[in-house]
Amino acid sequence: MTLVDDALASAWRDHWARLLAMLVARYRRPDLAEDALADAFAAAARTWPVDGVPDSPAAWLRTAAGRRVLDRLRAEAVAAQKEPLMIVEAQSAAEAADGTPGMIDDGAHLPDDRLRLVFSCCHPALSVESRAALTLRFVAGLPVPDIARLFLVQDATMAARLTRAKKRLVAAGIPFEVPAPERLDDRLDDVASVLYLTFTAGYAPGTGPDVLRVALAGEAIRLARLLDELLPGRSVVRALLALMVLQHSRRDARVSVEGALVLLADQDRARWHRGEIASGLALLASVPDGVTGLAHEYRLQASIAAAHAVAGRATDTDWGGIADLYAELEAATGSPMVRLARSVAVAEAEGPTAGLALIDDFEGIDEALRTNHRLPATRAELLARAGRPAEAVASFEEAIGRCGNAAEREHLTRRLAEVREDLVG
Amino acid sequence: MKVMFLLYGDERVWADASAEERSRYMAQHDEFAAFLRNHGSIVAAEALSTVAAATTVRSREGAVVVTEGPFAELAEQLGGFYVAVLPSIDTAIEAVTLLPQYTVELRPVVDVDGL
Repeated sequence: MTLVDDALASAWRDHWARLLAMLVARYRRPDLAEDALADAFAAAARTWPVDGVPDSPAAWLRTAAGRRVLDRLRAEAVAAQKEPLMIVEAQSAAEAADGTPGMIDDGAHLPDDRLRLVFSCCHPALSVESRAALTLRFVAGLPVPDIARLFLVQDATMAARLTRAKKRLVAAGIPFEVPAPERLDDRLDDVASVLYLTFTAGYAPGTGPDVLRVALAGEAIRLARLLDELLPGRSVVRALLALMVLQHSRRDARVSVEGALVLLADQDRARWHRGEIASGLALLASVPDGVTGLAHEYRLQASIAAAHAVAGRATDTDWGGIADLYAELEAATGSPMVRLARSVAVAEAEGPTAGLALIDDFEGIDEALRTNHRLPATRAELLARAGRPAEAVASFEEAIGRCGNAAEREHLTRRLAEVREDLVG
Repeated sequence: MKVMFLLYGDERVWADASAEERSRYMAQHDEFAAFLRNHGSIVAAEALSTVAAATTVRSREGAVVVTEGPFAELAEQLGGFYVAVLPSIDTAIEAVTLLPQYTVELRPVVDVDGL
C-alpha cells in the first residue's frame, strides 16, 4: 500500500461520516451530499497520487465535496426544479454554515453531527432494511456494491433501495437531530437493533463471502464503538458492544480450512482472539445488573458468550450457568429459539432427556419453528444421545430437508450416517 | 413541515360509545389539538360522517360511474383528519400518542406551485 492509499484509507475511515454529516446539515440534501462526497473521494484518488496528499485531507475533501453540491444545486436552479429539503435543527445548520469550505481544520467537526446522522439513518419511519443500508452507506461509508453483496441483492436493487431511502429521509419529514431526552432511550434501542442486525447479517452462516462477512461484523462493532464514544455510558450500547466483541473474537475458529462451519465444541480455542475477549468482558462488567428491556437482553446474550469465552476447553464450560442465563433470556423474550438454545444447555448440564423434555414442554414450538431446521436438528442430536436412534434418524432426515445451508447440511448428513450405523450395529 | 393526519378506526367504537366515553374522546382530541398549537399550528381539521354516507365517483374519459359506499372497504375507516404545520415527523408521532386509539397515517403535504 502506498502512502497515498494510506492517506485515502484513513481519510475515508476518519472523515467520511463527519464530512457527510456536515454536508447534510449545511445543504439539507442527503442525496446530493452523499453523491458529492463520493465524487470528492474519487477525485482525491485521481489527483493525490499526482499532486501529493494535501496538508489537511479533510479540508480538501470538504472543499471538493461542497463545490460539487453547489454545482448541482445551480444546475437544479437552472432546471427550475425545486427539491424539498431535509429538516435540520437550526443550531446544527448554523454550525455547519460557520465553516467556510477550506477554512476548517481536521479536528473542527462537531461529533454531534455524526450522532444526528446515526439517528436519522435509524429512524423508525424507515423500513428496517433501509435503516441498515443507509447506516452502512452514510455512517460507515461502505460502497454500494459491498452493501448489496452483504445483503445478497443485486447492485441495482441496493442502489434503488438507497435512493428511495434518501428521498424518504426528506419527504417523510425525518429530522436531522438527536431525539429529545425523553425519547432518547427508545430511539437508541432502534439504533442498537440496526447495528445488531448488521452484525448478524455478517455472521449468519451461508450469507455472502467470508471475508465480507467478517468485515461487516467488524463494521458493526466500529459503529457501536463510535456510538459509545458519542453517547457514553448507555447500557444498551455497552451491552451490545460486549456481545458483538465476544462473538466476533471467535471468527477465525468458526470456519475450517476447507470453509466448513466448525461447531463451538470443536473450535480450536487457541485461535480465539484473547485480547478481544478481555475487552468484551470488561465492557460487559461495565453494564449495570439492573438494566431492563433491550439492554437486559443484550446483557444476557453477552453473558452467555462470555461463559463460553472463559472456558479454556469445551469440557470446562459452565453449562449450568449458561442454562440459567438462557432461562432468564427466555423469561424476557418468550422466544421459542431461546427455549431451543436453553434445552441444549440443559442437556449438556443434566443430560439429553432433560433437554428433550424442555423442548416438548414449550407449547406450540413445532408450529412456531416449522420452517426452521434447528428444531429437528437439535431434537435429533438429543435423541441420539439419549439412546433413541430410530427417532433420531427420522428427526435428522426432517432437519436435512429443511436446511438451506450447505455446510450445516453436510454436518447433519454426516451425523445421520453415524446414527444409522449405530442402529444397524 | 406541513403534514396531514388521516385518522382510521372502527366506526362502531364511536357509534357504540357512551356519553361519558364520547366526552373522554373529545377531551383527548382537545389535548392533541393543544399540543399541535404549542408546537406549530393547525391548518385544518374535520370529523367525517360514517362510510355509510360515502359516495364513490369514478370519472374515466368523460364517463362517470357513481357507486354507493367508500373507495375501499376496510376494517378501519377514515373518520377524520388534521392538517398541521410542525417541526418534524417526530413531533407528529409524539402528538398521535395523545389521541384516542386510531391507526394514523401521516402524509406530508406537498407544495404545488401556482395553487
